[in-house]
Amino acid sequence: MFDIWGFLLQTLTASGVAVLLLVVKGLFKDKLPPKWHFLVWIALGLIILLPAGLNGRYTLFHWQFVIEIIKGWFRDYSFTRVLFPIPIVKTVPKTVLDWLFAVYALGVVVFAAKYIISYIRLRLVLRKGTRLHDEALTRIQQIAEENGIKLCKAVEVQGLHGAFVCGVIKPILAVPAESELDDKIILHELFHLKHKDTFWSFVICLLRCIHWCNPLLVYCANRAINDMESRCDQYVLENLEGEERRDYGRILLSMANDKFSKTPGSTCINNGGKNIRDRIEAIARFKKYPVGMGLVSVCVIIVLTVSLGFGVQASKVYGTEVPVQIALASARSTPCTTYAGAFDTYAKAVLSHNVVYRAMCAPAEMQDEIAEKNIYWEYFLDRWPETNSGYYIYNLKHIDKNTYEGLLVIKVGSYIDNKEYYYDYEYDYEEEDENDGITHLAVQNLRVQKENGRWVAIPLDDFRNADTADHVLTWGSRDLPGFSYIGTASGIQVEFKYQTVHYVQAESNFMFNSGGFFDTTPNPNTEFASAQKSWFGTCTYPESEKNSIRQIGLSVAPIYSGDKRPENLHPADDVDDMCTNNDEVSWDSCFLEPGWGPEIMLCGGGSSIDTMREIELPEYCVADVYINEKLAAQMDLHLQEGVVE
Amino acid sequence: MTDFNKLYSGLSRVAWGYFFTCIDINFGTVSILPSFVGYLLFLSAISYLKDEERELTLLRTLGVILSFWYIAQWIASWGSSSLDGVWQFTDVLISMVRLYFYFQLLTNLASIAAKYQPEGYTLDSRLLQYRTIQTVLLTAIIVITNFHFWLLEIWSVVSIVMMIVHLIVGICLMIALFKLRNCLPTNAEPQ
Repeated sequence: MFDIWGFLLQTLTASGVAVLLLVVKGLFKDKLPPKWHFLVWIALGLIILLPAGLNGRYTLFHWQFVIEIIKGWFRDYSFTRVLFPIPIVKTVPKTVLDWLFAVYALGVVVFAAKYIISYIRLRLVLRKGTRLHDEALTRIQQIAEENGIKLCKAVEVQGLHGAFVCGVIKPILAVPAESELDDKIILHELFHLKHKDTFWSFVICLLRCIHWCNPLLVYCANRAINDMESRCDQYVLENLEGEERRDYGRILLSMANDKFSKTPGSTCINNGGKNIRDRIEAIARFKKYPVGMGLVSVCVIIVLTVSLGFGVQASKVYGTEVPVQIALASARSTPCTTYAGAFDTYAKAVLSHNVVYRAMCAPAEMQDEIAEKNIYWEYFLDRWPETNSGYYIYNLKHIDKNTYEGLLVIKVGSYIDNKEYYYDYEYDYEEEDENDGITHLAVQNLRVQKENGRWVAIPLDDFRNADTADHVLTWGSRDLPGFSYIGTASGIQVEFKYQTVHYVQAESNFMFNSGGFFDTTPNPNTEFASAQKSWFGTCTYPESEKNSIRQIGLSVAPIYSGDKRPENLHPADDVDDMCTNNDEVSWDSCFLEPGWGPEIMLCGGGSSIDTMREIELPEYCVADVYINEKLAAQMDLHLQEGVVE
Repeated sequence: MTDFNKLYSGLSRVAWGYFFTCIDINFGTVSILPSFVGYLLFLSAISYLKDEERELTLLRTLGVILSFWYIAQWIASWGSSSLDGVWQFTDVLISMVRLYFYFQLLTNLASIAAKYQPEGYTLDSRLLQYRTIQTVLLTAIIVITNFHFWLLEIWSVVSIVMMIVHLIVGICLMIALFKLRNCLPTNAEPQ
């Protein structure tokens, strides 16, 4: 926690869990054993120690949304993030909020110091004690042996009101020197020793320190200590019969004393007068629970801990149905957790011209601008996007662990005449241009990168228009950029254009997809649903040789890292034979019409790729060129730098 | 003295309650065998069986909570929506309540079976066995559901397997409960 917002997020998340635990404990008060009532606090301990909002997840309530709204009032549009569950003051406080956080952090130090001093005082008291000998020691050893407990060092100390165990690594059992303690009290402390309760006492004190200013969590810490005592009471009562059980309650009442009751790393049976009442009530409710009860106790704790630990993935954002600043707060609290999610969110922000969606995937430095300009986010499209056609990410490139680049491709329709009315405009497909079979596209190079644990989208250039004769874009398009492999031999140049196409939802189709609806709600946690790779070959031949060529053929194979160059490619000397085999070798051949140009488009192919695996580009390609049914040239094609138009 | 008519009615209601909670047939989005009917049957069964097993009264509050929850679910289904996943607080709470409710109910029914099953029958241990399987299964379903995001590719298979196993356990329980009911002395037939 580096600021007051981080602390607020952490403590509110823990408070929600505390409320749930108190409700559950209330419901199961007389149904599950005290052991369960103590162990169930593990769920709260886990939530306090896990950074809230980790990987865009929240527990019980989306507190981050509330915090982002409050931050918006202070014109603070940064992302709230918790990296550590403890406060760390990184800079000298400047603002009121910085000072508040500093005061809170100081409080943690003060409380920690208070507990340390209390522990040192207790250890000093124990130093004055003398080791137990003879009869007293034999009695305690006998109780320990009867209950299968390994006894630690035991001392008697002047002025103690009751017995306790102190120390996590080398625990010491302390008993009062002046009075002889009842066996039941010794047994109670020995059960603390057996269950390493001094460690739990230390952990509870630590958590109490971190959330010292949250009364609900301090109350829960006290309840947890009391439940720890009740658990040992239960173990003792299970060993007693009739009148002895009532005796045990009377002894507890007589020992009500607050001294050392909250010292870390120690267990005091007399843990405060107020708490004794609850324990007496628990003793009055005492019953032996059936053996099978352990199973349901464990299962309930597993369900609780796993559900709360995993939390809920934030994915929903508000749209225009709420004030824009609230919608933007929901966007800031809903990060993109996958790179595909960032591409998806950006593309849908463009398709539906939604500033809230843009805020979800915008870097931190853009948030101020978005929040101030809010709805008037400009993305420089000059044609209406065809929303129902969806979008495609071409040539997805893995730059490094935290960076991907790709070309966003969307279909567009008629020109936007008046952008001022853009925001109230309902797109009408009938207004679309007569396009003579041409598909109009808008494309933009996009980078998504990880920033403070969230994926953000950064446009690398402005949108530009592109036209293609292809209507289906899932299998690539010659008219769009790709990774280009080029080789030259005997005056012939061969280009092999390699494209990948990723998409989250296929383009809607009125015939196969009822209603032709493309869901423009962003999915910040998605993975790409499908991906294809496609390739296209092109030969360029010198103009001077034009008259001597009547037929041209091309056979191309991609060579991946570690693969060997094949000795022979499939021949491309037969115009009726055009194919791509499973090894991605493509061959094609054609007769040239009179007046053919220097560029001849030949073989192409494609296949599906696994979206879960990293994209592997061919290291290089090999090609055989056939002229007039004879092999004319063999060459290696090498990847040109970057994506080639 | 044991009132066998009450016992018979109580066990019938529990068995039919299982029928409603385990089997779900939908008409559109609305269930025609709503779960809340099952929980209401459990609640009325508790009134009939409480003299035999006093601990069953502990389940009343939990039964009321579950009944209200499933009534709300059923009403929401009329509007093609669901309350599952809307609020994690209630999701977790209901999961835990349901887990305990079934566990305690079956524990008490096993105890009744031990008292009234004819010699040579092992209905009590079978019920305890099903209870354990059901508790572990419900826990596993909740835990696996939390891993849903990481199991997308095999989620449909996982959910179908979980559904089938849950149904089989439910049917086994129903059979055991009807068998227990039929074990009661013949004068237990309702008038």
